[in-house]
Amino acid sequence: MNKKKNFIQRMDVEARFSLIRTAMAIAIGLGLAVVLILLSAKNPAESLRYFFLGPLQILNPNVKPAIGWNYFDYWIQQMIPILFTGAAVSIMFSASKINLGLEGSIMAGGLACAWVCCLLDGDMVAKNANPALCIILGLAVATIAGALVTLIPALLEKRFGANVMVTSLMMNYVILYISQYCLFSTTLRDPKTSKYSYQWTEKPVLTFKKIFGTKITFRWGLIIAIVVVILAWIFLYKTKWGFRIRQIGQNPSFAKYVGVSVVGLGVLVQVIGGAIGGLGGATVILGNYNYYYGIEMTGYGWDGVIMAIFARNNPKKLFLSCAFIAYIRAGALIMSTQPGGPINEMTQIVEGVIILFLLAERFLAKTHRKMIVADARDKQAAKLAAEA
Amino acid sequence: MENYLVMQDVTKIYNNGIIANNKVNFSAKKGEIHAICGENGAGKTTLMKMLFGIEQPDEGKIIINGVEKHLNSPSDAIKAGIGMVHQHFMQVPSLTVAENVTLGIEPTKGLVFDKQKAVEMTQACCEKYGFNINPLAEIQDLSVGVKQKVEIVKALVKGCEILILDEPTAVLTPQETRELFVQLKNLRDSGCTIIFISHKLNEVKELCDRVTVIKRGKTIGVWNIADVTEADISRHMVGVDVDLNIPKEPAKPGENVLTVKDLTVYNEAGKKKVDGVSFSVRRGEIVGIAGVEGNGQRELIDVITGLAKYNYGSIKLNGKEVREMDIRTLRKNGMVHIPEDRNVYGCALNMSIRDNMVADKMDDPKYNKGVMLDEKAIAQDTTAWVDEYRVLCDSDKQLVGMLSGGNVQKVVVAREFTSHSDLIISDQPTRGIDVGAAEFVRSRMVDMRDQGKAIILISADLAEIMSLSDSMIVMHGGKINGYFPDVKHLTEDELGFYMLGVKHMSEEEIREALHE
Repeated sequence: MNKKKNFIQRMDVEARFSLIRTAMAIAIGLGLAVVLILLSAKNPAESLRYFFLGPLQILNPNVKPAIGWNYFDYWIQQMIPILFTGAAVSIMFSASKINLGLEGSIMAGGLACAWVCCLLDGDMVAKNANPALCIILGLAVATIAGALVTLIPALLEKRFGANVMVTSLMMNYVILYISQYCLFSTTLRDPKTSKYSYQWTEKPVLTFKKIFGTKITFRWGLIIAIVVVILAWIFLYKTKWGFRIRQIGQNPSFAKYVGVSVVGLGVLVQVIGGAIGGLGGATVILGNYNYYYGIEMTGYGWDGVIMAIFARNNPKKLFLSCAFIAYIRAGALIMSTQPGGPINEMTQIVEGVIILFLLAERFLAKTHRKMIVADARDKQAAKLAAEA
Repeated sequence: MENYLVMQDVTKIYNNGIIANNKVNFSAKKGEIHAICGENGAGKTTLMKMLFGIEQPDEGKIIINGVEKHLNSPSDAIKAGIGMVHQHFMQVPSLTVAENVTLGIEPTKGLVFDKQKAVEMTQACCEKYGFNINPLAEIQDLSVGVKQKVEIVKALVKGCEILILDEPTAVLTPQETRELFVQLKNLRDSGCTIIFISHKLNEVKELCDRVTVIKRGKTIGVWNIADVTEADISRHMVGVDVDLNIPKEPAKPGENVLTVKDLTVYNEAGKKKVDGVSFSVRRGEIVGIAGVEGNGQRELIDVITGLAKYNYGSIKLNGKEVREMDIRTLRKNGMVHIPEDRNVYGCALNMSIRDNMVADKMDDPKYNKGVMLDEKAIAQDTTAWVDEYRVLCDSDKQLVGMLSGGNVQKVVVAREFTSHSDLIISDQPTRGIDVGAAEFVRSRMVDMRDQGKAIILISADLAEIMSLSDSMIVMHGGKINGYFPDVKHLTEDELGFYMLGVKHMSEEEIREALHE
């Protein structure tokens, strides 16, 4: 009898509802995107095609990239940083540590990595270090810098009971201003420019990303991101430390009662989260730039929160949610570069709508209730039948 | 006589898919005390929550005085003349009785709270129903028994015709219980309908006029109390005969495992809660700690289990000072603990039975393979424990939050009893769980005792503490005021006198609890 059911019918009622709700939220969001495009594009059919199919340029000979653009790579490029921050936030939120300092970690990581490159390979002091050395040292220093950013609020909470959410938010601005200082003063700024850092050679970027022909770009950043997400999943779900972290998140009193060091692990998850953020910041620099220009927040830290919410703090589910969000972002950007295309900021409205419907508890509450009641009745009937 | 309250074919399905009530029928007449009995998870509380407007039924009708009511919130229920006394009191400790009683219906003079009027209202209500309470006393200075009366007056002053009492005697001494019953009978005679929920069948038999038994979300039947015995009710509830007496050999105590000496504990507010307490617990005995709630037992247990720190005196577990150990070290040294509140300390409701059962054993090399957890080894043990401890579930991967209270408690007990231990602290091990599960937990405790563990038992259920304990200490005002090396000849009334502080023993007699 079970064989006749398809996979959706075999899922339990909560998983089925969650699937329905996610599908509905995405459908509403994308529906809205279509409406916005139809209203604002000069050539709606063309714009829609770029929005929905643009990132799949590799498979689609009809999509002709603008000069110097690699649309498929654009999708990957959007995906890398949010995989990092998503994993970082998932770990911190699993322990219910609402540390929002990842924006600062990303920035500190980028700055630290750029500094290393400037020193080893830039116009500033020396030149022409081995690019592999630049990359490895850059990643390592960035990881430490990122960890420090989230460690400070964590320690403030441990020592003085300062609310970590508030201090970590403030920490982001501290890092932003440090970064701006480095660029506005002559600490890191190339005196020949107004607000760019010294340049370094193209070699680290070209080592970190390999370009084959016009369509294929290989990024070490993506490999590192995937490894980090997998390790984060193993850590959280397959080790005793991860078990304890999730236990703290579920019920800190219970964790304390069975002898878990609630405070210590709370600090540890924030250090790990920050370290992953710093690493992510370095990959953004290494994969794309040979100079540093960090005078605004990147937004990747906030994206991490959204991704962790989508994935319900389970890194395993990050791949799908990051790929999806990166896809519509890449699509919107590609669309906006076409003549007469709607503006790229449209994606933020779409993302906002999807998140709203995913988080709104009362959204589809009646359907949920009906499914539960029907399921409970079915199970009872089956039980009665089995007894009889 | 006509039924004043009718609940007809009421069905409630919770969001986790549990059918808590399945076409339940319940009715009560004006001027009767009607008991609802059933195991935990049978659906009594759900039924009452619907009557008090906290939950809404999916099907069925609630009819009061011939009119169908839709109770969407507790305030609707209060308007319909329903009052509820919860198991945990809903009071503001720093306010006076009058202020608490009139909370929500405050009399005002212009924009200002009219204190005088509030006192008069409280006074009038107390006099009408024969309660002896000082309206100007602050709640925090009152004993549990008086607090309970305040809770009842709170419902009465709002004009309630139907009064729901959820386990009202769980925290009372025998004397206080008796006084409460006299007052409840007065209330009944003045025309109030009282719904009485209790696990204590002797009280149901003594107090009530009729009894409705609910089992697994269905009504089993309604009986006049005169027509049934306690054993009958129990059989209807469980479906099989339950032996309420635990067979138990006399204890053969060994050496001291836990020694508490001149222990004094101040709480966070700087109040002395435990005052120079000394006793010891030996291998192979169950030591009961009795006392009215709030007499220092809570603080005593918190410091022994490492949940709080103590100021003066010493606690030694197997000769090692407890002050220097954190909870993990304490557990490594053989302390296990069934906590009073299983939902706060005892488990994580959103984690699986398996996860909850191994939560304290994560460091065990048996369950680790390198840096990873050995899921196979864990699954093998937890599935065995689910069987051994008779946890009713689909599989050990089910969330603990889906289980009934009794089964959650079995999960807690299974976790604690399967860990290496010398000392077992058993705090209210059967509170709010059904007869079958309670019997199981109790017999397990006796097994553990016979295996040579030292056990401390705290329970508000006097029958339980008297039948299980080998020796007993009674706490009053933070001190031990009675030590009974042998519980056999102790009566409930005698124990009640010590709990209330009416009687106490000499220093020398109490010092014997130390076994030096």
